[in-house]
Amino acid sequence: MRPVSEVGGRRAWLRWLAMAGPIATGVLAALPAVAVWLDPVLRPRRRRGTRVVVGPASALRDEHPVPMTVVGERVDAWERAPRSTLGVVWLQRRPDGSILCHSAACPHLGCRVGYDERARQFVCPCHSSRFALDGRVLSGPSARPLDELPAERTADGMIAVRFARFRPRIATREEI
Amino acid sequence: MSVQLPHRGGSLRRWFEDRTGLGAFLDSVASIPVHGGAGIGHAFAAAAGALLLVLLSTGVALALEYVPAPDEAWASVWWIQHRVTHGAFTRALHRTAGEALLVVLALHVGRALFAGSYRRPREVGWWLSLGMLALVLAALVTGMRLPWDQHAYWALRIELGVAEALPGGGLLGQMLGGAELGRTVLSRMYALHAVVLPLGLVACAAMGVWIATRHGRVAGPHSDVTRVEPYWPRQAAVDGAFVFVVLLAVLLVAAFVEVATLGSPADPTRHHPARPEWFLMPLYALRAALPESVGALAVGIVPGLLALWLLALPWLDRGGPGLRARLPWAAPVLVLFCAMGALAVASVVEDANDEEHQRALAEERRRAERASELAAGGIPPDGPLAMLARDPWTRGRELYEQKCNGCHGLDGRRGEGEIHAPDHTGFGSRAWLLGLLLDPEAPHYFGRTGHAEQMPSQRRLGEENLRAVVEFLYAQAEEPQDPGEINAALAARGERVLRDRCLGCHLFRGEGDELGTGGPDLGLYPSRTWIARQIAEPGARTQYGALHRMPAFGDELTREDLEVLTAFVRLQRFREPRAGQSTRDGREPR
Repeated sequence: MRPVSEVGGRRAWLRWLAMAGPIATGVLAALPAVAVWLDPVLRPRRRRGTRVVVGPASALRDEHPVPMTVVGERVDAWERAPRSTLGVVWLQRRPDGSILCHSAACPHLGCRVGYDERARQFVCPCHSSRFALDGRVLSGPSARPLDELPAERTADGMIAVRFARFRPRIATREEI
Repeated sequence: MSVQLPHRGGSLRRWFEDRTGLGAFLDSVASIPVHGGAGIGHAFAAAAGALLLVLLSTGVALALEYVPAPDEAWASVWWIQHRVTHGAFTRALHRTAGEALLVVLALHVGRALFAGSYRRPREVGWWLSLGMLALVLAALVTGMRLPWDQHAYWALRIELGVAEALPGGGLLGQMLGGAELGRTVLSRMYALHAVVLPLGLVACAAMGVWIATRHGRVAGPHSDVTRVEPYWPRQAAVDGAFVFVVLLAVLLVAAFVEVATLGSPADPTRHHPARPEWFLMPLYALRAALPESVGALAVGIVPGLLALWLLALPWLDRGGPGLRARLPWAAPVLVLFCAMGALAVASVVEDANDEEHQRALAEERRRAERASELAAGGIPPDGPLAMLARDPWTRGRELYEQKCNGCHGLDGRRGEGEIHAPDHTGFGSRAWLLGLLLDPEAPHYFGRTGHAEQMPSQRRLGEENLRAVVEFLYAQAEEPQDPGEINAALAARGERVLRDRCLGCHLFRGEGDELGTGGPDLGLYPSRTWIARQIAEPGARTQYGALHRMPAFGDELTREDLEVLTAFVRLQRFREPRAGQSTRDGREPR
């Protein structure tokens, strides 16, 4: 009897035949599984921000940010939920009456940014990035200012925001 | 004990061999004695191993997407089937490989039965094969209930009901979540299918390989018992070729046959004539063939006795060598197998000839297709059943058939009732409205409602005016989401004509009916508002008032149902009456 490693020569075809099974098994087991594992990578993502009405303009205050919850349609895999919470925005009224809107997601790693009333600064609770009221980075690890979102007053006295998310940690804004 | 070093190879290989002994193990596999010479009969085990690996890999892939909860289960399987990259193929492959594993294991056990390889000292290997067969059956049943569609739900309901009749079956049902088929039963079946049963199968397979290295492979019933050769290379080559062929067949079936479909989402209020999968069909047929009192019991007793018989074979069969001596022990199993198979085939043939059953299946397919169409637009958070309940073409049509179709005709169908209310085929379309104005007394309009001779033909208005009135009425029911091809100028003219010529008998936004005829209000006719009012309160002054002959449905429909039924009736405007398929006399068109 000869061990596996010594079979060869004219019996090479037997070895190939024997390998056909394991190879077929490997291919059949691997291909669909790899496709499914990679599915989220292969799937084209929607990158459109959505216009959402967040609340009444009467709630705004001058130079003092107010948080509002963004409720809108979320498509998550098979589910389309018309009224789910998408995020939080900080809103302020500028001296000229226009609305300034910042996403409350920290541009560093996405924690929810709060407001320090005494210092009149936005503060991230996770890594202590501090931002001025206009969004500039004052201190901390954030690579870019708070993400500003377009906001407008609607005819019926509400605030509409074009809500979007951006890739964290990088200096430029890249919508995700 | 000294470590046996490999025969050749580099230092890395020696290093690895030194620490694992894998090469030595492979050599011991290569030298497994194959009694009776290499042959295909020995290759079933290899095929089972290969299929098990394919099942594990595709199973993990499916687990990445599947969610074991009612509603979510159906939705996630829909997602796998229609959106995940090669998801439908992965699912088909998983199912086909599972069924193939059952067949290959059955062949393996069958061969062992006739080769007598349950005898000393191979009893444990025999029991392992039987155990694997049982585990695969359990995995197939639990796996096929996971999509939580109509078939899965009702099949499981019946299976648990049958289990109740068996000793221990009630406990099993309780453990799976009791009478309520919901979250508990689904997540427990998932844990069984995706964790417990695969672990058991892998353990049995590993144990089987270990035992084979110890006792070798037994000769088949007709081979030369004196011939013994090592596993490598000839049996290895046969195994390799056989595995290749089996997997190729599985691949082709999964790719080109629709093996893994998805029915409509499980609905506890909607009956479904569930039939079990082919491997359970014999038990179904057995139960159906026997009276109810013993049928459920027989489903437990017959396979139970078979299992006991097979498990006990190592002790029962003490006869001499040779097939003849074993035949009394093997033959009854074969006879039972064939009888059960014949029962199953007869039952399948009976279903195929049962028109009622086929109609129910066709209805279920239609519902499944519609559910899938709707899911493509996103499934709402309250689940696929709520999605269907808001769909005019599903819930609306169903309500129409229950509440309206007895008197009103639609698509050539109408109940047996005496009363023939207007036919709704193409209701609200331009052609339907024009037909009404030209000949209100026609049998498919008001000719057989008892309103006869109330409204004369409006041919006298002239063709152009008629077209204008039709356009105006059509525009009244137009909604923002409609395709929208309204001729506004024509419609405006139509409104003038209508105000001029129709208000003798009809109301229009509360005014008119100068002659006191009591004709319905034409304002908003035939919009959703008008239809909803007509369904809820046909005797209202805006509707047919004292003239009405229609029962009011306001009290027996929920608000949601009234909405969806109204939407369905309004949608008929987009379906022109089909040419040559008149439903004038209300009979099924030929």
